[in-house]
Amino acid sequence: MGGRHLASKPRAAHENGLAAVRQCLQSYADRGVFRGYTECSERLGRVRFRFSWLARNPYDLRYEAESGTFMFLNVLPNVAGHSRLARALRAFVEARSSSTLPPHRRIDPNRATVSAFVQRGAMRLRVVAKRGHHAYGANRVINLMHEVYLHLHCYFPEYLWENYGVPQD
Amino acid sequence: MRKTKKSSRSTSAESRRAFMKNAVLGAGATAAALGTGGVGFAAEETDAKPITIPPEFKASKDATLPAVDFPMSGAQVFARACKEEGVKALFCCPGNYDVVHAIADTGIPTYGGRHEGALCHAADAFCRATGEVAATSGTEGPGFTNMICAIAAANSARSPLLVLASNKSVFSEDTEQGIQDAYQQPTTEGIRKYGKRLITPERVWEYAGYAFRQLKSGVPKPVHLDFPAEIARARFDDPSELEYFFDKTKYRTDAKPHPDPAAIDAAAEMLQAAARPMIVSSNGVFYSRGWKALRELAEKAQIPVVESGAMKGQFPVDHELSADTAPGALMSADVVVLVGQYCMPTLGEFAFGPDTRYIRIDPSAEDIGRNLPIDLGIVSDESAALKALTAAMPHQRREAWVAEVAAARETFEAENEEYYRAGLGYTDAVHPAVIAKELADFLYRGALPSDRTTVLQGGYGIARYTRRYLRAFRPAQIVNGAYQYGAIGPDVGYAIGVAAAVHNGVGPQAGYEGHPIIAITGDAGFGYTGMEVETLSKYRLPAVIIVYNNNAWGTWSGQRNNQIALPVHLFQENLRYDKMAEALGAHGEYVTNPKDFTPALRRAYEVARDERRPAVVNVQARKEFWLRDQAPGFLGKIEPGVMSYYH
Repeated sequence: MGGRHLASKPRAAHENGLAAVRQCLQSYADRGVFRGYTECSERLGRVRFRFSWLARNPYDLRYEAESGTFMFLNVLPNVAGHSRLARALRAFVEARSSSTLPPHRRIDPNRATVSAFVQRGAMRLRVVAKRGHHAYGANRVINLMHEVYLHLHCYFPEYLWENYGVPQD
Repeated sequence: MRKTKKSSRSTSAESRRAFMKNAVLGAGATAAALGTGGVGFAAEETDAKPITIPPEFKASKDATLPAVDFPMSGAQVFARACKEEGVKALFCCPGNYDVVHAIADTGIPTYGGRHEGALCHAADAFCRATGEVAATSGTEGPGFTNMICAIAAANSARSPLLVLASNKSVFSEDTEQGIQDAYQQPTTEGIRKYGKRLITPERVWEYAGYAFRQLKSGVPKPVHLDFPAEIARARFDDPSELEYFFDKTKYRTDAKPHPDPAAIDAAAEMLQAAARPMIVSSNGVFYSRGWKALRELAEKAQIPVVESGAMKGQFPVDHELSADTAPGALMSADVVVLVGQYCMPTLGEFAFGPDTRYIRIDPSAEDIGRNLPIDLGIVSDESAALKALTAAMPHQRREAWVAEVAAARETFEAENEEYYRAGLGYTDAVHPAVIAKELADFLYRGALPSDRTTVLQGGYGIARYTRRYLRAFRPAQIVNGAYQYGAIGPDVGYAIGVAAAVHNGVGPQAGYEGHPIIAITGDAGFGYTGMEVETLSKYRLPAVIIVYNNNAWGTWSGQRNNQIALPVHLFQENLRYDKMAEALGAHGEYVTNPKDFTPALRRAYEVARDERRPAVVNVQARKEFWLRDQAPGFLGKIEPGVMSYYH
């Protein structure tokens, strides 16, 4: 009995986390922010959410309930690890936790950590929710992606021309 | 100084060649010289005849308007409708003579130029600068089709543009008798609000009513009427021969749709609960003359305002609640009120975040909800809705939010200063940041009152810089040239319309009569409409045109690795647009070094102001400034706000 009880606690936490994440992301779909919103389970307790969003591109967001990890998989292709763009984006993403940002724009380090890294020629954005703040993590990773997109618009427009089909004009 | 006229034709021809040689290759400056009647110019050190304005211009200006009454032609009946409906100007080229001459005879200011497209752009810009209806006209066939790009641009900008064109005769339709036969109405399908080929002479007044009902209600867009000869030349002996020959109060109303009180209450509730609301003020606020109501709402509820649209200045940029230069704050807004945003962005095109809720105020219910999902729609005239919202809102203070917007403004200005410092580091050519910053210093931080000068913001790459520095302190102080349609090239045409609006003090340009305007363009753009410098010159419309000359189309940077096709994107280098301007009666300046830009700008402005001549400042840059490794490189943009021109 006791063993079963102990084993069910993390499973319940995972389910609660997933439910909170689903609710958060579904609300974006319900409001028309995302189009074509779908969810599919992957192995090892991962869930992948796919939706059409900025510049009508498909976005794949992977969520691992156990670790509270959110990662955008396919959004920043063709970024070389030591490029100026990679350095700039890493710095920008790390600065999202800065105390100089207003609270509504910040990723609170007490509730989530954030990082960006290059893997197989693409930059990946990762937010890890702490202590069950999974709904918060979901909200922050979506906002992070939006902020990165704006940052590219402002400072690296040619990247969006070349990789997002954004018109040069 | 006026030169002695040579009598020999051969000598005269030789002199012209000598003049052109000097004009193109010589380094000597040209100077104004009074010709006959005190209005002419000639190149110094040549024996060319001076450039003069024919005496017919003054005679036209001094002439008494004819008293036109029945019997009247169809053209005269239509012209009377234009006058009574308050059409404020006509921009045209020769052609459609009956209608153009009849409109001119009513006293509506009429301008003729070199290319129907450029003059149609002028009429569009006049609408954007004044909020009033302007007409444009071209001849059947080629003259009309020359206007197509401009009609499309006006359609995208939502301008109340009245497009008129002659079109052969009903009798000769389909015969190809003579020349210039073409169906016009199918050509403007999709780029107008309403169009009609007039075929029944006695309905000419009635169809003027159709046109003005469309032009003066709802969301403005172009109206296109084509006039067969049977209409323009019809003769009416008395009013009984015309259908619906009523006063305008009988065929249309000035009443505007007012908002549903329940929708206003819902909006007020959303705004009261919001921590960081923002208003986006666009075209509709301008055309409804809603800027006073906008300011009252913003101040009462302490809501920051950011602008978008085909003209800027409905909310003064120096107001503490202006977010026009605070792009970094946009994503913080939790509730956004889009007012008169006729050209709707899709998701991600405006910088507001994924959690932002939207209220949209628009006179057209059919458009609410298009592109950007809304949380609340309000069908209303913009000014009426703003007044109702002001009445429904309590006084609120949002100090933290206002401080965040102020901090974002400071960040933006610091970034601009950084770009300027980087630009000063290039001394082999003039960097766009230097042009933009020093132009702004000249307009807003020097001897001129900051609200004085109306600016036509054109160009492509250069605009990525100048938009960041230019400011609007009053309605339509900036006319946003490339807005939405993104045409490259209309800028000198636009300058005619803006200069005419200021010259005549129409709408919000009242009080600024006599002051030069500034127009910004690129070398690619100048190539399309540069000949219209002559139009500005002959009408004595003072405009300073800054040409960013980087020897290339703005497309060069994205195509530079395409070796075979690259010349498509390039021009000859170091072209002398200033000399071309001088040859057309304007003042010219050529600037090759950053330190010379402001003195040249000042000289050009003084010529425009004192001699009422246009001036062209040809600023030599280089195409490589757009490369990322030549910091700052080609700049991106954030919308809405000063940088916006897509929506």
